[in-house]
Amino acid sequence: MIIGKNLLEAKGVGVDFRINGEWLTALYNVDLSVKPGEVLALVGESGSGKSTFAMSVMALHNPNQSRVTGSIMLDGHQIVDATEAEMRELRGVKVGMIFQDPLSALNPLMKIGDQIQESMSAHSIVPKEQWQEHTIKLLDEVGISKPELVADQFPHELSGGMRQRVMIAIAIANEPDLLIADEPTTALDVTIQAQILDLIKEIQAEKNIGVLLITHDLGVVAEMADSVAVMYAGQIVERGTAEQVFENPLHPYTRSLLRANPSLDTLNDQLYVIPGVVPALSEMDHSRDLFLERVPWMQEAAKEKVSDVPAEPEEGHFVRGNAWKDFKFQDGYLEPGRGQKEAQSK
Amino acid sequence: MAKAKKIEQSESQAHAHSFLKAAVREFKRDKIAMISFFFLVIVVFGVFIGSMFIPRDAFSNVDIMDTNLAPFTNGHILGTDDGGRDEFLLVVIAARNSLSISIPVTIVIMAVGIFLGLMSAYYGGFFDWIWMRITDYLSIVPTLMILLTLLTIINNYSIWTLVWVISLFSWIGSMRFFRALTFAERENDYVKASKLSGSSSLAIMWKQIFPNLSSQFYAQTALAFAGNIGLETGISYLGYGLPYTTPSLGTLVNKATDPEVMTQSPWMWLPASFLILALSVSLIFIGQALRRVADQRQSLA
Amino acid sequence: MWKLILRRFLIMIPQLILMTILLFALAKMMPGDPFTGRFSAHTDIHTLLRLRREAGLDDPWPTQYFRWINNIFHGNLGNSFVLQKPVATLLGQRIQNTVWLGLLSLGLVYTIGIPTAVASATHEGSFRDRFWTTYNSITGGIPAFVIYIFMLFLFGFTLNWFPTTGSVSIDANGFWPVLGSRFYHLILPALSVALFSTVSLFNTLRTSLLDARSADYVRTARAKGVSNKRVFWRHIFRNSMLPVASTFGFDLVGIFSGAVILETVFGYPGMGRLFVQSITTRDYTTMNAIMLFSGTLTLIGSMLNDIIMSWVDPRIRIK
Repeated sequence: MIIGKNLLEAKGVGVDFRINGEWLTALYNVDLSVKPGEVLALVGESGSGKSTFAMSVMALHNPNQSRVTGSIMLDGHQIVDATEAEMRELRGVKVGMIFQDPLSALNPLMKIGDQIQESMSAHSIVPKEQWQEHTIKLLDEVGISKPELVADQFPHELSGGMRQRVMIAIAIANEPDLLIADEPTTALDVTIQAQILDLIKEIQAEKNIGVLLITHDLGVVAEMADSVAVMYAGQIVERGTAEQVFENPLHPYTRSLLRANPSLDTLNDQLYVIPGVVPALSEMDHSRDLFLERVPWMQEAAKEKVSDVPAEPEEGHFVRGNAWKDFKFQDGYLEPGRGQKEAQSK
Repeated sequence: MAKAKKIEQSESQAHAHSFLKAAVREFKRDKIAMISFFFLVIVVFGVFIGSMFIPRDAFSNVDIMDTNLAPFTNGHILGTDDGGRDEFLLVVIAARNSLSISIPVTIVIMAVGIFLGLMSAYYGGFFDWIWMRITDYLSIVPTLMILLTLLTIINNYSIWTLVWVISLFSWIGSMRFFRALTFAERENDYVKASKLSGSSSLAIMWKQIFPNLSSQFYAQTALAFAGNIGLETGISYLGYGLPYTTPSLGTLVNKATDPEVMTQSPWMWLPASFLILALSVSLIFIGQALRRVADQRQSLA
Repeated sequence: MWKLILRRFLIMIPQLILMTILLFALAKMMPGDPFTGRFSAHTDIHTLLRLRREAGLDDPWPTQYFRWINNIFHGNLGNSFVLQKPVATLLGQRIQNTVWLGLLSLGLVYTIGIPTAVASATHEGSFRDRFWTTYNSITGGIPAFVIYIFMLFLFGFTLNWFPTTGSVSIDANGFWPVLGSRFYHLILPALSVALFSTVSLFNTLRTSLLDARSADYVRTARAKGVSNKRVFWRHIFRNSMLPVASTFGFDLVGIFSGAVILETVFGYPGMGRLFVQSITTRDYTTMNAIMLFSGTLTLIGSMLNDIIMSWVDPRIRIK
């Protein structure tokens, strides 16, 4: 691991898919980075492209139906246009991934122990004699009691929470530097969600792993993230430390998202709802700020072309477009604490 | 209410209409299916109309002078059989007889199949359970053997007896197929909406669900037709279908059981065999084209 | 596991009973009885009636039924009217022949079906794929017996590559020559069947392979860095064989039910051919016995199917 440099550095990443013969853009000009030991949360609605990005880091897209452009550097290795052989060396070794639905993500006909050992057998990091032992140790690490028993069981015999723990065990079997967690708690019960998040936090701290946490749940972000990147319609609209983004949200989408999230501080009569829907892939014009189409009172600004280079009002806090400068909610809502700042800057 | 009914009616008509259009389009695209279709039509009309012109006594007169003639002798295009009967005429008559059985059989099993399948899936519960037990059971017994046994027990049979006997087990596959389709349809909103608006179950099944299944229905009919031709000719080949006096294509093929005939006089069984194959293959191509149309419409819906 | 087998077996029993009743009823509908073949015009009708009564043919049907069942358990399947021999003996040899034919056919079906399905699925949309898919849809719909006749005509008579009748050559002596001769007689019919019965296996396997390719657990395997080869065989292929295993029992049975026509065309002395011959001679005892045997085999096949499924799929096994 190269100290000081970013563990994961994505610059100008674009992903196109061929759907029904046509090439459509799913990701456009994505910039983000994860430092060693840092937790970066990638937030956005379903369909915003978060999972697409994660899959691109692992180069798991079907090469016949997809094109990845830009640069993705994983600890010094260029992912874009890497050969399959090169990728196989990296997958599971430098980066591990856990998925949303642990039941379908595990092979129903294979024992748990075998599936964990498969991680090890695919690479030559853990010597063969230690596989058995290492498997038990891993299961123990992820908080499974009676690991020897579980290793002999099949996925359907375990509870959702246990399955996700197993997935984590599989992902960290070869001690990767980066862990990508794609909506790890979405398919779980609320009580289990907290447990799994704690587990991820624990492992992250213990092994000093970088985590790319993909989620649509702002509560999860608040708990876990050091940095946040907000994604909309395949573009990064805002990026910064968790503090920066939560306390000083700039982009209209970020502000709308935060407002739509009920918390004890903001007991309103009505939940704020963001009007409209995420546009279909074929309708996206990435030279503009796509979110503005959903803001009824900003239709003029929605038509403006927007630079690919984000603005940087604070150091390390990036935002796309120009609308953030004078965006206001139609009902005049102002985030607590903002009124003073605005007054100050005036 | 009346308006709603009118909408329902025009919808199902529109449905049938658009299926026809889609089918025509598919056939234009799939040349093989189109050729098969025309072939089928020509053969069917040819043998039915042609056999009307064949004199009744063409087969009772055994012309000992002209036995076992090879093709193209004495004006017999396909030669003659061991009784001096013209082979070409034989094939025409046999084809007509085979079709006279397989067409009704197909109609019967498709009708029973869609009827039972729809009802079973729609009503569910005990009704469905009972029919499932029955069909499960019937698929286990040795059907061909039982069919043959029945045919030996029943002494004088007509075309209709044969039709009923052959249909005895064949409806099961078709019933299961439509049952599965109906289960999928049942969950759709339009069914629930119809129920709420107070339509009777029968109306829902026939006016609402069936039109959505109709494309699959036609596709399945073509394929079932192919299968029934095979079944009937197979039974006749074994000697338990139509007798030689009113032969089926299978009875003609039966000539091949005699090794001498098989090798020395192939014209006695080859034409019939080819025709059986040609008819089946055509139906398969047609059925596949229809199935493609049905699948496309499924995904549109 | 044993509990499952036992349970499955118990379910089979009422089905079996129902079938025997059905066949018994069918048998009673058949004209004639064991004595019809044995007398000439001079026989006294009273003797005939007495003999019938003594043989229990006048007893109420339930009694006759249970006697029949009882006989079966004692290995007595009755005597053939025509050949005046115990049916059980007749069946013995024939069944063996049919079984060998069935096993070889099934083996060939899997040998042809599995590789072609794999090739098709891994090269989806290619010429190879379209060829095999079309081949299977055609062979699945055309009447088998016509093809058998062609095969016999072409390979048996015209080219003389294979024997055209019988199961073994008369002048084969000694273990290996006999085995070889048997095999030689089996090939043509077995191959003919196999070439035309691959549909269900091919379609099932091909579809499962295509579905499995986009399964989540396959994505996980790739994310682990597992090689493509292993991903295919250990995850995609292995899991796709599951639906195939679920049809194994029925495939086995299907082979036997097709025996009637197959054996008739190829003149192969098996159970199917015996059945057809018995119909011709109106030998109802034999017919009945064969149907009973056939039906029982089917029931066993379906039971075997369930057992195999639960063995192979841990989700069913552990309940």
